[in-house]
Amino acid sequence: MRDGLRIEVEGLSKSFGDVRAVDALSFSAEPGEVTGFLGPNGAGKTTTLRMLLGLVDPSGGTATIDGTTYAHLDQPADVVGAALEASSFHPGRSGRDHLRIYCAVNGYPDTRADETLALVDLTAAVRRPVRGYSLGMRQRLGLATALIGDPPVLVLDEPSNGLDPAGIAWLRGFLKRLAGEGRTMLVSSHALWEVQQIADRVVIINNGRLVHDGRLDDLTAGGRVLVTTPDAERFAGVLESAGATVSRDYSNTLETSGLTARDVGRLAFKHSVEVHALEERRDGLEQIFFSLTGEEKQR
Amino acid sequence: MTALVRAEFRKLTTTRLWLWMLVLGLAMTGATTSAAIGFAEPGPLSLQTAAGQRTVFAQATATLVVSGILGIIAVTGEFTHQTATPTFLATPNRGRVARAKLLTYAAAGLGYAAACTAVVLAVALPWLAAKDVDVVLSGTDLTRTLAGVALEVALYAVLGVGLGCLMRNQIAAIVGFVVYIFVLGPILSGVEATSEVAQYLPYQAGNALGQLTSSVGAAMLGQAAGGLVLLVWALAFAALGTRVAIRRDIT
Repeated sequence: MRDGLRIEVEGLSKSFGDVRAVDALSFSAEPGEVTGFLGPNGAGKTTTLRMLLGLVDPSGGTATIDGTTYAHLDQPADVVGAALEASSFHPGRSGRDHLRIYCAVNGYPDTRADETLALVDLTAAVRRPVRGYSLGMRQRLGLATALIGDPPVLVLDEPSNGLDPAGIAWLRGFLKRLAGEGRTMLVSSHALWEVQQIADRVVIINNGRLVHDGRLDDLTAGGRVLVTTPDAERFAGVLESAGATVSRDYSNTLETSGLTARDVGRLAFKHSVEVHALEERRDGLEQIFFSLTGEEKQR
Repeated sequence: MTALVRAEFRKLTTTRLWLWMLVLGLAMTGATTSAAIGFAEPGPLSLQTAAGQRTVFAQATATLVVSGILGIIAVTGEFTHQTATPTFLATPNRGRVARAKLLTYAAAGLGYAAACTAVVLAVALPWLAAKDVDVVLSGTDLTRTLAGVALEVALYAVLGVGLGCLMRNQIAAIVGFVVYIFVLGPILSGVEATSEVAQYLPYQAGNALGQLTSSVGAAMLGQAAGGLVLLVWALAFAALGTRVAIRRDIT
């Protein structure tokens, strides 16, 4: 496996008729990191990934892997593995035969098919036609197809779609393991909490445009601290004079921002304030996401 | 290219389609051969004449429907089952994929033709012997007919692949193809007004290649010329289809 390959998207655009599906999008995905590629449904994630993979012709801009467009890679399976649809298989073909087609295309030995099936825990289903596979099994077969050449770059479009909780837990562990091997991973999702668990960086798009590109830690930093005290009135004054913004939502709980929980605790100790509860609240990625994309939270 | 053709053969042989299509081809050939002998009438195409016997031995031509449909499904099936995505991910050069399919299905067409020719011989030889009909065709003539039909069936597979590239809609492509072979083709060749032109269309060019004389006295090219015309059609469809397939976005 070669490593250290970067994905770079620069000024990428795509119009379908009058609709600008992707609009001058630029971002990169770095080796050894999982880059979460987020956005609501219809934001242009799939179109972007398909342009990166040479399936859709961009109206403008470039998308490269290690400086080369996908179409110019000698043998793409050696470099990039991609899983796009939940089911790109002939229903009458077995998982093993499906993978052996790609062994033949790339000149890999047929044994590689069974190896990758074992990798995604599908060994028990190798001979069965895909029509008998559950959605989760199909997702795994898609991952196996992506991994057939043990590529340093992985591009996965909504890999957790249609998975049950056990499947999602499995996927999370699996993706973490793949990332730990130093691969460059670009994983799209609209399930933000899912990416929150595995991503190092997030690229958020909406209506085809970039709305955020940065480390996940930066995005979730700067939370609020809730402190409950019978001496709320006095402590609010203390916190405010220490530079915090304080709001008193109900009875004895103060909501502060601008201070860490440690700062608040120290102030309470210093001023002999009786504390019943002290809680640090970080904004969830979901809230940040909605505030960035301006989408209404639909629950 | 070898690797791609191997992969295409794998696609063909790892689902049941090829088997059902072969069974269909064998059954159709058996039926048309039986009809050609059983319903043969006295006249210019009677069983005793060389032309009549050529028509009997050319009955593997029935397989062209099967090989054409197989070629169409080779391409449209990739879109029906969304396997076009992994296919073009593995080989971004779509022209190469199309060429691999053309080669693969030309070879598969020859295989189908060979199997169906065996059926023709197995039905015709004993039946003619039982009717006390001497085979008046020379060995060369018989070989030319059988080889011509095999080429015709293979070229129809190529035509099918080209058609599949042009029309991604599987049902529309198959229906259009079947209607042309069974309705439009025979009518255009049979009607006097269009017969002259129709000899240059795939249907009648294919008949010429298979040395399949029809009773209606339609205009028909010689075997070599017919073969050449059909080859041009097949390559034209393939070239045009490949160009179309290359340009389209796979969404």
